[in-house]
Amino acid sequence: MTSRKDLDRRVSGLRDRLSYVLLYAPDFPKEDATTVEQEFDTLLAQVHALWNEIQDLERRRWLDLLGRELVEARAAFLEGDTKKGCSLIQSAEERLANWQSREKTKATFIVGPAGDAKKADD
Amino acid sequence: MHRYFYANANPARYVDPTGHFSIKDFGKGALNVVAEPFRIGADIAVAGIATHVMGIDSEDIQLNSMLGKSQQSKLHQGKSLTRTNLEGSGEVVFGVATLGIGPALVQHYQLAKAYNAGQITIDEYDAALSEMAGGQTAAAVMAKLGTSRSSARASTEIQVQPKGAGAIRVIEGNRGAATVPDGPVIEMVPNGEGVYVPAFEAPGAGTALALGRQPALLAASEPLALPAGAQPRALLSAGSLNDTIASNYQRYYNDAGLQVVDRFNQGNIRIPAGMSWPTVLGQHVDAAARARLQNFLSGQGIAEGPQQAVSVNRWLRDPSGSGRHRIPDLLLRDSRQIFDGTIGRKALTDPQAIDFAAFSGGYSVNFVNPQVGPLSKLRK
Repeated sequence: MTSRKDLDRRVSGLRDRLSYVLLYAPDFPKEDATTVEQEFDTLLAQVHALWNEIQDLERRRWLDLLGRELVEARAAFLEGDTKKGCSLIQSAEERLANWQSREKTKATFIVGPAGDAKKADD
Repeated sequence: MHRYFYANANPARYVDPTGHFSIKDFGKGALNVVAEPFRIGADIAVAGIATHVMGIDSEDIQLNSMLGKSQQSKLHQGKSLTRTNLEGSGEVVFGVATLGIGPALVQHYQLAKAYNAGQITIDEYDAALSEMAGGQTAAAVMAKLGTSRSSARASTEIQVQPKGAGAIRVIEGNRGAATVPDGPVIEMVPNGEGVYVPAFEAPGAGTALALGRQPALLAASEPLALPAGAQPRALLSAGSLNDTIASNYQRYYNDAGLQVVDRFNQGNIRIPAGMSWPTVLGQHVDAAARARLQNFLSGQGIAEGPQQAVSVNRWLRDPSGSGRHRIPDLLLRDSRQIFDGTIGRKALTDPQAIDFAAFSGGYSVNFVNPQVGPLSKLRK
């Protein structure tokens, strides 16, 4: 069982790497000898490892969202859409913060069978 | 010349008796006189000027920029000048406000030295300072000299225009280039033995470093990366390894500072509601610099961990058992140094710095600022 401190440490490392990607992708410094694919492979592996560590479904949802956004961000950077990639990375950072703070996921709107939408708390 | 100016005293215990520190602070331990010039070039220049021209003992100089330190070791043939100076209530800083070092500055230094050696009293110190300015107060003298006892921080602020917002400012660091005055700059040149000396002391020396002039200075600050596959401990002494790690961390911090401004200017970084832009940008700079540092360490096979010689972003607990802790960005055990990045301003008298020193058992504390050089990269 991984300790809370160890988990925090790993989350912190993940956050550092997200910032690194946010600032540098897709043109990483030459001396770092890395690529968009490598960086996102590492990020996703770290997210996956976190996912495996925890059993709480609520918290896993945040990681699911995070992983999905990372996959989209990788595609955006590879397509040259830096703005979208950066936006998704920052969303992923927020997911990670929510995961760490154990915030509950909740629906913000509900779509009806006819395609109508209403706020979840109405 | 005042009779105390050239006292041959031990300067290890420095206090400056008329400034921001009260009388009771004087006996509290190792308080250093620290020359705090404004940027890397100035660091090198001041180190050279101080030791070669002013006659200030090398161990009295602590240079705050790591690149400065790297050059400093060349200057002083490997002699480490960094020392712990936070035991007690704080540091006494002998701030050098510009490169315009003149005889009066040397006199002030010598006075402080004489006082700390117990060769003159506080009253005599004050009287001598006053005498230097024809009866003005000691504070007036220091103002005139551009010296002080607190950090001589005069940050240059760079205008950055984010999208969809009013003008904001990014602090360049504690040693803004604009504070380096126009006019003659003393060039430092290698003397053939790897020691940098003022150009006039080494006629015919190699290429000069145009100190204080950023492009040449930055070009001269080559990264100290190890060759791929090198075994660092076999290749380098502990001191030079630490220099390499510290220099790279400074470089990563500088680079992240530039990147974050670029991305922000391009509208690629958003500021979440309820958070200030310095906080958000600072967090990204901190984090990205740490990530690169970790990459470098793992790439070079340098072990990192809570008990290793190198620790990155690890808890530093209060050994007194208070339960408190701090998390410095980089801790180097062999050289007993702590480095913590910030885009803001921090002084060695801040609680964080005092805790770093206390919790580590007296390590030297260094705040790392993004020393942003090529201003043209920033949107003004």
